[in-house]
Amino acid sequence: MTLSGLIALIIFFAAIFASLKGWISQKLFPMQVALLLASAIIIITGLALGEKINPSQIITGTFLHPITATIAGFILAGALKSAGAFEAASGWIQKLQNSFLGVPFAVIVLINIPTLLAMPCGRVWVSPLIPVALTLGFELARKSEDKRMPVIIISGLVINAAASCGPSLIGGIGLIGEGMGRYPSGSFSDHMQFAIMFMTSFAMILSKYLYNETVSERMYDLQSIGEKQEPLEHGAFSLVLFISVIVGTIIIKPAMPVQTILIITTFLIMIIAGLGFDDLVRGIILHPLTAMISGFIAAGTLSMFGGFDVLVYVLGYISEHTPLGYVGVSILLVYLPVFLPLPCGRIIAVSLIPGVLMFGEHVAQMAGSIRIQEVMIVCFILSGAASCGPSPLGGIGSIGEGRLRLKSSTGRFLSLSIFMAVPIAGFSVGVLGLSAETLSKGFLIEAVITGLISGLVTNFLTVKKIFHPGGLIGGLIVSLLMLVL
Amino acid sequence: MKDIIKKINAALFAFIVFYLGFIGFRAFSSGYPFSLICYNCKSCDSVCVIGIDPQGFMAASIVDDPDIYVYVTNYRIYAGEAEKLDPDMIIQTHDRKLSISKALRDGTVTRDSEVITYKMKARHAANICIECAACERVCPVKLPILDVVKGLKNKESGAGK
Amino acid sequence: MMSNKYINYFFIILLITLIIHFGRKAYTEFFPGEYPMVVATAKLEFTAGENELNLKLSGTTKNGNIIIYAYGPDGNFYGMLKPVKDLSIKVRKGDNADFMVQIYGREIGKISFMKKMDRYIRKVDMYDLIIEARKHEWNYGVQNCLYPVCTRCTDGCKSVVSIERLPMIMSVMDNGEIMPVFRKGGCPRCGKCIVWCPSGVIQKETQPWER
Repeated sequence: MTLSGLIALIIFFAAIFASLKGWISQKLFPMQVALLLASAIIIITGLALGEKINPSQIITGTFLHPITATIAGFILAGALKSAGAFEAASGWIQKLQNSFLGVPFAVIVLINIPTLLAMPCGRVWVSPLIPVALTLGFELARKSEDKRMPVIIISGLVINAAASCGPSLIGGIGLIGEGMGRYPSGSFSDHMQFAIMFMTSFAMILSKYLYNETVSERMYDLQSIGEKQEPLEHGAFSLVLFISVIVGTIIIKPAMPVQTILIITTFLIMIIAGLGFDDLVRGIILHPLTAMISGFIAAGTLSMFGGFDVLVYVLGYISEHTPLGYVGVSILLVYLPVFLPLPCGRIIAVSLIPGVLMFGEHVAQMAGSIRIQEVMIVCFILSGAASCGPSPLGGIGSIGEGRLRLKSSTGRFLSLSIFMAVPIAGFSVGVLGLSAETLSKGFLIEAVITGLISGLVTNFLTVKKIFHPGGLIGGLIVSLLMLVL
Repeated sequence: MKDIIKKINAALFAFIVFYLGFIGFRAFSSGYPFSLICYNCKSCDSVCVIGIDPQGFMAASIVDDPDIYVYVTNYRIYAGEAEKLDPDMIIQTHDRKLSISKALRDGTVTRDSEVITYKMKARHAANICIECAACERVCPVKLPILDVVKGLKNKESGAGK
Repeated sequence: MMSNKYINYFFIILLITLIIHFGRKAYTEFFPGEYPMVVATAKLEFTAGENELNLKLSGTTKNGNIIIYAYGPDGNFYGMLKPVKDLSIKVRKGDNADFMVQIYGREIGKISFMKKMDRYIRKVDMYDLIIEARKHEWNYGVQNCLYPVCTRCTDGCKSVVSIERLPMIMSVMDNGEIMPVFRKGGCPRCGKCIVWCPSGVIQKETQPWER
């Protein structure tokens, strides 16, 4: 443990905490600026203490993969929007609603798409799906006269998308945990996906009963104007192309970066719909990108001075000298990313994986079961992945709040849904263990239970008929597809 | 917002954009631009018996610096040799992780003791890599990791490619 | 007919691709067109001390590392990678095995690594195992070939020759070590195994290097 590491840790947490509490006004110094200034102070302090600085070591803390995937996703979303794919999707949703499967089927499939076809960053799906979810939400609000429907649908979509980078087999956080912990590749994915389905249901229920703000009337008028627009010529084709490419990528897993695939799809849509570069720009949201990059810079600086090693040391000290013990501190450690929600879960999650493995080993020795370590690492990664949802500092939740023009934050109940769902992933790992072979009886039972419960919740929230076939069939289809894909 | 605050904010946001461009430029100048594609999935890390994190080699080529520290968690080396290579090399001993120079100073290990490494510079890790290519086989985007390893071997400190 | 702007985009992408292609440093290897020769492991002299085993080799290895192995009561091969200093290796109490290989006669089965990042999944003390192996006359010793850590010779072979009749295969020897075995018929003399072997076990038939 070094003095510079301790000071770096204090400055880092102070900057985050002050930004979260509003002591550093976001109107004066947004999160990005606060993190960069904190990094600068850490570096100056380190130099003053005689530490050696290697700027390259800071840069190695920056994960380019989620950043470039998000940029590619935003560009593709811009192309899809300009080509009219979202209007086409709204039309399909309308037709689906009028079928016997009805609204619950449409809702459960839509909000679980980000986890079903998991991308390295949830924002890749949030950009194209939010407009469709908004249409569905407003439609439901008109039918059911429940003005919270848009918030309910968007909350479900947002938390599902936020957590989806955990189980993603295309460079998700789960793969990092599997690699560093030497677990079978792909063994974390199903446990996390099923827990995320529960997380989504919890978020929707909590938003219905705990969130008081409703969407303003003006938003309904704006949405109506949007819906009255004529669908563009190439919208449906662009949408089919997009879905086929994503599904194909998930199934085939080509030896080609997902960013390249998304960009090629973008160019194809540009050619088909006659778009220019200006049309792509409308999909780009700079705030989450800059928030992620500044977070990575801060984490890289902290890592260079051994700040994360100090954190693990401090947690170890607390474990041995307080009544919390290793079990209590392990629980705190698993939920640490949710206590300090940053714009990207990787910022803290990846740096602390060695610490989690170490704590997991201690607790496993005490409990006499090696599975404890597996439970801890899966739970930690899930909470890290989902933590960007409720983050008020450029998290995915704020995209939804912005689109709905909500004044109060949805962060509290999104965090609560994470708290409730993470133990489900732990329970799943504890009972079924980690294995790359997921087409087993245990996983099949878990998929059926998860699908049915999610379906029941969706039925209740959307049409108030718990046993409506739409939700149940939709839930089963989604959960079984998660098992297979 | 006051004018000066606006300027500070704008400058720092511009710095963030510049930072991203700088990373891309360094990756190109290292001669291994494909390192930008790395998923950072650690699939390579899980198959190396020596405990090298091959993603560290990709990181070294992104920043074009062979002196960044990468995980090497299962390589046995004599303490004297480790200190000669790099006094700041991090080793594991008695459940602690500390630099080899500190371990020798404290008397935790002697020069003839065998220690297990934890972190070392990328160019040293490249020298101990036996080029079994297990990491290349599992890479989801089939990055030519060994090209980077061979480039890093016997590299002088601080020299560009 | 595509509009001019798409043709411009195409040329920009082509230019960037060409810059990457020519700017990229690719490593070129030269392979000798010769038959390989498998060199036996250096001879070993064994001394047991208190909580320490000293193993003296008759020759060094190309990369300064060697595999120490011992068979367990389950008939499996346990090994660890060790540095060689002044032709000697020390195995101390607390040195845990790095990997385990299931052995079925001369056939090699599943390989499992025993370490998870910096923590052991399963600890098998090599000092204790070697003492047990000596007592029960199970196989133990050193192995220059770094299998299963390295499989480059067979990988090189597979990249050139059809898999049904590989000239270079891994096999379990009488003394329990796992070494490559060369079968001359069908070898195209590509030389990949010679260049890629990091331990010097496979060398040029015409010009072996001195240990």
